[in-house]
Amino acid sequence: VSTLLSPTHHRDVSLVDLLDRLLEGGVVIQGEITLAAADIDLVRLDLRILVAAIDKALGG
Amino acid sequence: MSVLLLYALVDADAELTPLPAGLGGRRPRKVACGRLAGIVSDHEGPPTAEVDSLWDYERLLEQVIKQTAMLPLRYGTTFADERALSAAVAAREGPLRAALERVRGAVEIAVRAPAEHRQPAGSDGVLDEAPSSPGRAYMLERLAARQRGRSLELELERAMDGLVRAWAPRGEGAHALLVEHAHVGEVARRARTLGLIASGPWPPFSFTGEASAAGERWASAAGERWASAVGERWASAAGSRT
Repeated sequence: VSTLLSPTHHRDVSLVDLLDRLLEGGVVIQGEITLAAADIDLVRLDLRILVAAIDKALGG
Repeated sequence: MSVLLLYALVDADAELTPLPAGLGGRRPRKVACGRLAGIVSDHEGPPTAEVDSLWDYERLLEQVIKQTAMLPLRYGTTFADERALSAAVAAREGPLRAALERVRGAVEIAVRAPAEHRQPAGSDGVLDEAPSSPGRAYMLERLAARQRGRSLELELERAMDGLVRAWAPRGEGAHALLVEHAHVGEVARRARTLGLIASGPWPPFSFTGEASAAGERWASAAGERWASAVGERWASAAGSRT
């Protein structure tokens, strides 16, 4: 039976999934979500903002 | 400014063995919040979004979910003190407990198609001729991507029949599967048989209830196809301008 190593033991494969989950998934609850962006590439976030803006312009 | 960093919510009566250090080597602790409890650590300020910190966060969550059902919090969620944390949780205790029940006994498996397996635009008949403008090309490519996504979803449905409690789309060619602990190995094997990359088990980040309800589809809705509102609008726009 094929098994999965935990993500922290398989970091090379899991990094994109880690970013996707920790920064965009999980419970959003009242409080502060504040990140001091250090070594993270923000281009992806910028693209999401752009897509959201276009979506809104189309009447979303 | 000192803050409490909240990692996860668990049952108030969950018994946890000592957990590994959290961010910055800080010792995590449990804070009661009504019938739930938060796993927190104390910090001088909000966390930084550095990759090592994200892995520290994930490592702690992996140890928690090995011991009890839990809802992971979005990275970077902080509170001024325990009172503020308790008040925030109390205000949504019902939906949060319902979300916890939905993921109890399960973990999340990430599956995605490797980039080289994604078909280029036009290979599926969507683009029969050169688009007349960059805008039209973009929209037609979005439509083609959406069709590829549906095809992958159908393949997954067939391959994972009976093994997946719920699933949620995570962008083009990627899905999150909510899987009971006992089925993790078989789900991974079947995903690889389809040529997909599988990672996990993750805490159920994509199945946290109302906090991430957009695009989420539960297995009980079998037969329905996931449809993102944005994707439909793009497809519609592409069609109307053809």
